[in-house]
Order: sequence, then C-alpha cells, then structure tokens
Amino acid sequence: MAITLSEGEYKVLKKLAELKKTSLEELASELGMTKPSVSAYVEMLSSKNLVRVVEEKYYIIKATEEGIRWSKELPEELLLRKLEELGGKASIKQITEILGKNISTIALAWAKKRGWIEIKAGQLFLRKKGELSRIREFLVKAAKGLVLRAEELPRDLLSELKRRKMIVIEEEKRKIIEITEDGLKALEKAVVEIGVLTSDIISSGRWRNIRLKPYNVEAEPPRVYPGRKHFFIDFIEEVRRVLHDMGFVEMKSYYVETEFWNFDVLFQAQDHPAREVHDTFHLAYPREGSLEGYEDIVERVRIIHETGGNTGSRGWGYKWSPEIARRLILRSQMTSASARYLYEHKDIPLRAYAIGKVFRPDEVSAKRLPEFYQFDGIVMDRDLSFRNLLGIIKEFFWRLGIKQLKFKPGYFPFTEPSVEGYVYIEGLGWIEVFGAGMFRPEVLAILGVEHPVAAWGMGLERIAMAFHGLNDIRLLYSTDLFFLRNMKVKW
Amino acid sequence: MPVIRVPKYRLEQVIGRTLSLEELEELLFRLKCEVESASEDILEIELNSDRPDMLITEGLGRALKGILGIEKGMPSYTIQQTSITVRVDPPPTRPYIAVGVVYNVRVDYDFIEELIQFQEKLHITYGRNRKKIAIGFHDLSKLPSNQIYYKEVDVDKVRFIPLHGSEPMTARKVLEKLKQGQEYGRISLREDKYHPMLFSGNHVIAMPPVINADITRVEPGTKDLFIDVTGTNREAVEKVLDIIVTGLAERGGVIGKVRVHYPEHETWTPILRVDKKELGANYVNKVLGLKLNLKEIIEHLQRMRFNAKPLSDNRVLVEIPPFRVDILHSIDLVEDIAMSIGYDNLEPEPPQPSLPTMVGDKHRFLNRLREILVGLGFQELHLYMLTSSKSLEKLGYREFVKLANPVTEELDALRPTLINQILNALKMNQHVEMPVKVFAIGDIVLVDYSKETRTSEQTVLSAAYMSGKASFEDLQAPLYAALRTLGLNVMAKKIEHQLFINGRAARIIIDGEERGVLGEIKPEILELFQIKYPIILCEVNLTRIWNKRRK
Repeated sequence: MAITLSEGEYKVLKKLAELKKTSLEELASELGMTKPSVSAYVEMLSSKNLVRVVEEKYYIIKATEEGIRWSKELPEELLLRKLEELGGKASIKQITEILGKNISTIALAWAKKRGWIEIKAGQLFLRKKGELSRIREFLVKAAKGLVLRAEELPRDLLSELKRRKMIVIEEEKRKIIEITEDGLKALEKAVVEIGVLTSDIISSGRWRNIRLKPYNVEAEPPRVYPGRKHFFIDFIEEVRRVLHDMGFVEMKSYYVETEFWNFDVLFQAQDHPAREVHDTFHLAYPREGSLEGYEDIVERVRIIHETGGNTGSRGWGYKWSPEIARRLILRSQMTSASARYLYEHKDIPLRAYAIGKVFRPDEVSAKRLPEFYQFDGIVMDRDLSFRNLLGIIKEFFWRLGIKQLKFKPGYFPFTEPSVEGYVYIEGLGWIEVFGAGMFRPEVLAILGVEHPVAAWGMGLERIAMAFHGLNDIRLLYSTDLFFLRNMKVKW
Repeated sequence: MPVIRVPKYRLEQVIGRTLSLEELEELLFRLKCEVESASEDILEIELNSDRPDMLITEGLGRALKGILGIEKGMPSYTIQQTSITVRVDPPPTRPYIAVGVVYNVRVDYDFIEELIQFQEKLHITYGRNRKKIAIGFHDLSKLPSNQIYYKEVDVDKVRFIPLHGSEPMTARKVLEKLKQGQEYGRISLREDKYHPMLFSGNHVIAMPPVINADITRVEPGTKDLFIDVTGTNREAVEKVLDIIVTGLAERGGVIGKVRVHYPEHETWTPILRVDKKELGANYVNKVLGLKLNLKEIIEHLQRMRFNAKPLSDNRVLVEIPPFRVDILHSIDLVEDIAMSIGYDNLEPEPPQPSLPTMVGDKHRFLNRLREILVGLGFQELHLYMLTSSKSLEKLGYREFVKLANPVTEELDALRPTLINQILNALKMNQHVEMPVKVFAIGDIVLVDYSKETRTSEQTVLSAAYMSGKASFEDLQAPLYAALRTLGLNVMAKKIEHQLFINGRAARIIIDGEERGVLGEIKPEILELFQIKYPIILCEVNLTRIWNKRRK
C-alpha cells in the first residue's frame, strides 16, 4: 500500500536514506531548512514508523590553549629537531638553554618515554627518529571542536592528551535520526503530496507521482481590492452618455465668471438677493474681469435691465452698473454656460448641455456643500413650446431609468413659464431635482436669439445619493478608502 | 424662499369653504407653493419670491378663490380720499415714501401675528432686508396729526419712545442701544449724524427703516391702519404699498388715499396702478404648445384674478391688478394661464428627435485613462474644487484664486493643483491595507490675466502610491503603462523639485514636451502632513496632451 507523504516529509526521508543516521542539526543544514520545520517533519515521519529517533551519547572534545599551541609541533618533536641540528648529541644544560626550563623538562620526559633518546651522565643521545602527526592532526580538529560517538573515540590518544591538559572532554546526549526499513520501502512507493503545483513539476512529469494537497476551500480568502472608478463620477458620465444619445453637444464653461455672464445676461437684477455675499462667492483675488469685445451685448443688457427696451417688458427700472457686471465670482449656476453658448450659436435645431461645479456659500453639512455639480441643458428650435420642454425632460429621466415625474409651477428670474420638477424614487418617494423653463423674452433679446429656448438644470448630487442610498452628501467626496473599497457597485 | 405660517381656519375663513389638507396641498402646489409641514391647525407654506402678494392669508386666499372658481377677475376695492397729507423733504439715503390708509381692518390677536409676519417677509424678500424697502404699520386713530412730514433729521436732536419702549430717547440712542438700531441703523444713516424720520405733527411716528415710535402702536382692537413704505426705489415703494393695502382691503376694508407732496411734484398714494396688456391667442398657444380658444384663455386669466375681455377674434385685453408686481411682460401672463390649466394637465410632448452626438473627444480620452488606471489597480478619488490656501502655501503654491467670502478657512481657494488634496487623502488612509494606490482626474484653475475671466482652466491627473516600502518605480511603471497604452511617448528627465527628494524627482516628458512631474515626497513634507509612509506621487497636465494630439 502506497503511503502518502507531504513534500516536506518526502524531502526529509529521502535525505535520511542518503545519510542513514544523523543528528537534527546536520539534517537541517544538509536540507537547507530550519531546525523547527525539520523537527516537525521528523516527528510526523516517526509517528508513521518511517524513521527512528534514538538518543546517543556524544563526546565533545575541545583542544585547550595548550593543545592549540602544540598542534604544529609537540615539545618532544621540537627537542628531536634541535638534537638533530646539534649532531645527535647534546648536554642537558645545552637543551635547557635552547628550550627553556619548563619545555625542556616536558620534552625530555616524553622523548625518553617514546624511546627516542637516551640520557647518560648529563648527556643526550639520539636513539630513534619519530613523529606525532596523528596527535597533531587530532589537535587541529579538536581546536574546532570534535563531536564523536563512543566507538569513534581514539582512546589511546585521549588519555595521554587529557593528562597533558591538551584537550578537555565533555559528554552530551543527542537525538539521532535514522531511517527504518519501513522508511526505505516507503520511499520507493511513496506518493508525494505537495502544496504548490509548479511549472517544473508539470514539465518534468513528476506530477504523476505526486498528489496535490487539498486546500481548505471553504475558508475565507485574504481580502483584495480592485482599482475602481469613483461611483459619483461614473454617475455623471452616465448622465453625459444619456445626453449625447439625445443629440446634445457639450458647452464650454468657466469656474470663475463675471457677474455679467452669470447674472446680468440672464436678466437677474443687480440688486437681486442671489447676487449678494450670502448666496454667491465673490473673489478676493483676482477681483475684476473684462467685458471687452462684448460691447453689443453689454449695451443690450443695460437697456433691457433699465427699461425693457423694445421687448415689451417693463424692465427692472434702475440704473444698470457695468462695474457690478465686471466683478468676478465663482459661477453659481451653469446657465452662464448656456448664455455664452447661445450668444455664439444661433443655428437651429440646437441642443446643448454643460455639466460642472457651481458654488454657493453654504456651510458644509450632511445636506449641503459650498460646491455641487449642476447640469444645464438647452434646446432651441422654431416654435418650440413649453410642452416640448416638459417632453424632453420626461425623455431624459426616462432614459436615466426614472419613469415618474411631477411638475410644479416655479419661479426663476430668467425663465417663464418656469417649472420645478420632482421625480419618484423607489423607497424614497418624491424628491425635488430640477428647475426648468422657457427663457424669458428679455433674455432672448439680450442674447440676440430669435427662437424659443427651453432650458433645464439640476443638481446631480441629490439624485446620485438617491441612487446609491446615501444620506450624507459629504460621502460623495469621501476619501476614506475603507468606504470606497467596500462600496457596492450598482448594476 | 420665504415660508409663512398660516392658521388653517383663517385660510378657510377667507376662502369661505372648508378644505381637506390634501386638497389644500394640491391647490397650493399649483400656485407655486409647497406645504412644508402641517400640524392640525397651522400650515407652514413655502412660497416663491415672485409673489409677495401671497405672503398674507388674505392674499393666498384671493389666489385660491380664483383657481377654485369662487371669485374670478380682478377684485375691486372701495377707495376714498383722506384728509391726510405728507410733505416730503427727501432724505438723500432713502428719498421715497408712499403712505396709505385701510379702514376697518379690525386687528385681533391672531391677525396681529400675521401682520408682523407679512411685514417681516416683505422686508426680507422684496425689501432686500430693509435696504430697498421698509414698512411701518400704525393705528390710524393714534396719529397725533394729519400733517405728516418725511425728512432727514439730526439724530442727536430728536427724541421719541421707540415701539414697546417706555422712556423717550434720542434717535442716536435708538441706533446705539436697541437691537433694531444695531441691526438696521447703518442702512440709511448719513455722515453718522443724519437719519430719515417720519413725523405726525411734531411727534416722531417712525424712524425708517429701523423702528416705529410707540405712540402709534398697533394692537388688538386697532380698527384702521395707517401704513408707510419708504425706500430707495420709487416704483418699488409704490408697488409694495399697493400689495399691502389690497391685501388688507380683502378683509372688507376701504382703502384711503393720501396726498404726498414732493418738492417738485405731488401724487396720491397708494397709486393702485392697473397695467393693461394685450395678449394674442396665437402667442399663448405657441409658447405652451396648445390650441386654446379665446374663451378658454379669458376664463383662465380670470381665474388667475386678471380682468380679461376680447379685443378681437384672437386678442384679449388684460387688466393686471395692482398687487401683481411679477408681471413684467405678456410671457408672465402665459405662465399664469398654464398654472390655471395645471402643469400636470399639460401633456409633455418631446420635440423633434435628434441624432445622437459623439461624447466629446476630451471625455473619451479621460474615460479611457480612467479605465486603464483602474485596471492597474488604482482607486479613483472625487475631490473638492475648493481647497485651503494654508495647505497650498505649505506646499509652496503662491498664486491661486482666493475667495472674498469663504464659509470656512478649509475651503477658501480654488485649487491650482490636486497634490495637496491627494496628500490629505493619503493622510486619512494610513490605517488601511497597503499599498494604497489612488488617482484623481480633475480641473485646476490658474490665475491668467490675459483671459476675460482672469483665469484659465486645465484638467490634470494626479496619482500616488503609498506603502510601508515604496520605490520610484511603483508609480513610474503604472504611469508609463497607462500613458503608453494611450499611444503617448513617455520619458523622464531628472529635475530638482520643492516637493520631492533630491535625486528622486523627474519631469515627465510626453510627446517631447514637459507635461508633469513624478517623484518621491520629501520626508519634511510627509511630516508636515503627518504621514508616516513613503509616497511616490505624480501630476500630469491632460489638457495640454489632449490639445496637442487634437491638432
């Protein structure tokens, strides 16, 4: 019966078959793995009786300083060399002078013991040459530390070196791992279970002998986050697409506008409250724009504001000021873009739109912000009627997926008839989202337009919030990645 | 838009009929009004600012009676002349006055509240917060004399007891000590010394636009009202008086005219001017897209309380009641006809269909770029156009559009870059799983005196990479990938830059021209923004890339 091994177990067992018997440290270093992970595999293998772990006694032999000092040449070898240099014969006194008292005593004793020399009446005689390479090599090894089992001990050397204080011996018990018969058999037939199927395993054909470890497929994976478009910008792009499908072209608009284009051309009186500081952002820098090149329309604005000119209107009955008209503001309505566009484009039929930020000095709150997106659309055609305006608005919302509308008469300074629009959103009810109307005759005369113009504008935030079920307008500007990464996409 | 509180029983009293709340809401909706909230007996009604005549229950009721068909055409009021005269020595700061009387108004506890509300709402809307128009109500029976004077006086030389006061005080004291004085005292004060004042005989009865004198105080039981309207625009002053006296006369009162002597001419007020306009059926039908006949047009006009009679087969002569200050042009009559019909009864009719147009090149370009960046794992951010000048200055930006009346210091400039906002966004996201890869595409506004608006606008991309470890290439690689996928040639050139670490900053060259910067943010700037992670950031001008490719 084939036994199943994990890849790690397999590697350990295979290495053990090579080494037969080894310590954990050696095994780990041979495998290039850490001791704890090898130890874990060994334990698993041992529970399957494929390896055996035994404790053995080890002797750790270390050379002392003395041993290291003499590991190139032992004192008696030194003596022998000097004696040869002196012609094989010397007095003890002579030797003592050359080697020093301490060393010569040791050297004489050991040389004599080895039968290398003879001492007669204070005279030394060379009897036999000898050398101690076995001892020296042992000392060199012991200098680095030697670990030996009992049967490996060179017992003859040990007692002499111990006595000569050239080595010290310590005993230690160590875990020794060896492969069993079962282990050797298992290795032949083992099915290896591996975690990662690699390209190497596939191309080498090794996959035939391996089994891929099952995953815990029911566990939660780590969380990853896709890059995402911002949901509100996406909504604006959706509105843009609908408008282009309906044949609208985009109009150019400016964040910083003169009051002239934002208010005056739209027949908003210069003392209209919407122009004051609590309804419009005025600029500290730069302050004043230019009306150069617009002399024709500036004059028309003046006359129509003051008396109505020949439009059939009463006008506002005040003295119009070009200084006020030149003041720079942040645009408060996108209708400024419609006005500029109609001043320059007179061909019918005409359909145009602008989407952009407009600004009003409202405190930042859950309901209002000092800036918001406004969309403004205009349609100009011969005999275009108020019912046509209602029709095009209905079509726009229908394409956006909103089927129910309600129209309420409204008031805007530049349109008549004017209408405020409510749309029905599932779960929220009726919400007011747009204002619309036919441009007033005074506005058309100012712009030099001959045909009726239907216009409608709406804030995009409220409707986007309704779509996404948000109740705080500030969430549209949230830079909190936790919120953005976890926001659900509408589909 | 103004909101007024009206007791429901009063509205029903005026109309002469009880109505359910739903019926009332529906009818008011057709008159541009919205019932904001309604308790059992008080309605809060939001009106549009073009109909100041409806800011009082009698005025609302007058309009409702019309669309209900209870009363049609222009109401007629009984008018008589009074023996009161006003002599005007026009104060330069507030030269115009109109005065009038309404007899038999019968002020009671409920009505006095409505009267004050009427006055206040007129002040705020039509009166531009008392600058253009201010109104005073007086008990006619308490007028010390029928000789009225309107002139400028030295504020130190006149004393009177202000409304609800107990002690006489100088006009200067009124300006300095009273709440009304502090709030409205500077509107018509000249050289810190002269102020318009209204006298009855020798007695001060009003200090317009600040406060009335207590002597002519209106209280429950007051039967006849004397009304003064002062202001800076003669037509507006006269119109407001017309609105007030016709509204009050709806209580069954009689309007009294007063002779007003200016140095050069004299006049009787209220004027009660009835404008006449001719209206063609063709015009009405063309604007609305309907086929109304003359009879129908006349019926609708009368329901909206105009007098209308046929002039020919397809023209009517319309008489506009004095309280309809919103009728500037025949188009305004057309809207009233539409309101009478009911907007929900106008079948929407889409105009001739049009062929689809191409989404502008620039948006296509920007959307492609957004898609690629998203594909590269970047999260898009949506940022404010307004930003803080302090945070811009911290980064070394000096010239940008600054607001004169910001609502908060945090939003007092138009952004000339997206970088400070991106850094602020990163600061807020140091606790989320790293790496953080974000981008924003948006407009920036630069000061440019060669333009008529003194500014020019550019669309830019800013993107950033933040992580425990971040290297230049973590952003450079995706940026190059995005731009090259768009078919652009990208190169970098080493530069020095105030935002970036020396040796880790580059100019981005696209199609051979400088288009942006890329680099690793200096630790001192990270510290300034309280950011603990390294950041690689870039900003690229997309308008210039697009403009060049378009050519």
